[in-house]
Amino acid sequence: MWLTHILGQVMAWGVVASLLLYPMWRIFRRAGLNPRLSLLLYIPYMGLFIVSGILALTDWPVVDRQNAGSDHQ
Amino acid sequence: MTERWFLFILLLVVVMATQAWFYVRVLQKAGQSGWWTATIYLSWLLGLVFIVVGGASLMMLVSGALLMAVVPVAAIWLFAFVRWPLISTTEPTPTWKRLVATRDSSTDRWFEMAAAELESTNVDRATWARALALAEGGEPAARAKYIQFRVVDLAERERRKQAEKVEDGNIVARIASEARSKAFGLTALSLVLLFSLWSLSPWKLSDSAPNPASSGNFFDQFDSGKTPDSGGVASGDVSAQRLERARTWDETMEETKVEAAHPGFKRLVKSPKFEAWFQAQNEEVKKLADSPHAADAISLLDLYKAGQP
Repeated sequence: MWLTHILGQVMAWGVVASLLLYPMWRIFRRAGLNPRLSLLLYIPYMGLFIVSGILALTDWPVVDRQNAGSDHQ
Repeated sequence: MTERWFLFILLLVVVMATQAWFYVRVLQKAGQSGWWTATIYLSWLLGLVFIVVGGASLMMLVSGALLMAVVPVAAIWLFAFVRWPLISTTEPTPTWKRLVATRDSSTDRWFEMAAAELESTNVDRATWARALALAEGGEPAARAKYIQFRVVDLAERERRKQAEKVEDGNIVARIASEARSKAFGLTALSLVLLFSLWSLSPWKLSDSAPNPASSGNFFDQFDSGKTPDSGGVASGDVSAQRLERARTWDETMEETKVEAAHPGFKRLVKSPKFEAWFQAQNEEVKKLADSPHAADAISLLDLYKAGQP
């Protein structure tokens, strides 16, 4: 009974993660990070928390490149 | 509210607050307002209100659930596709074609400056030389080229100045918030981790189980009339904790089992006769009362009833 319940929840999470995978992939790519990190979304319950944590706490390479570009001008 | 529920809600609040902070940080990094995060949380709040208020109505229930699920997903999709001002702040280098077609105070000023320089012969020598070279010696053509080069040059200088100003502001703000943000993020993450570990740890489980060393017993929770100084078997604190625990789902189930086996047991355990019998029992029997399981309580009551004439 509880196994079915947990499996159901994990599957529902999988559906949500699949819905978010493409935009997250795009966000990671735009930020200059490895887009494959967005696959962490599939970690049940904590996936979105981890992925948004990575985006929030890491330095975005695209910003660094931009800063370097403006320094050379 | 039981201890377990309190912990769960506390954990939920910490996770949600940290998640909100993550969203705010990501939005700010991209140059968007962090307040957009509020749309997600407002949708959850509204969805919750729909579910709680219209719980009996299927439509309200579905609307609430949809609101809670769709808005966050839609927000993430939207963020992935909108312009990120901070990432693409640099305007493209102004082209001559665009500058000629634009009529605003800045562009007019650059044209006026170039014309004034030509009239006063106080020209920018490098630009004038280029204009002459491209005009192949003809002065009227060189003057026209000078205006073109000079206006583009002035526009480019202005663009760089603006970009530097924005960049300076961004860098200062970023440096100022970086250390603070990281410290907060790490603290919040540590708290989440600690709470998760603690709520799942064996110490926590043993803590919530009845303490055999204490003088209280399974039946104290039903004896609300006892006071700490009444000479009862449980202290006031322990009784309060037991009463709190008795309201949990598990204990309600256990109570139901005991009630099925011994109807009216709550009244029975409050009786002085039972109390006197219980106090006269050995430690083995008393330990049965410390157990949270209905089976032990039933055994204890069986023992009591077997000993009665």
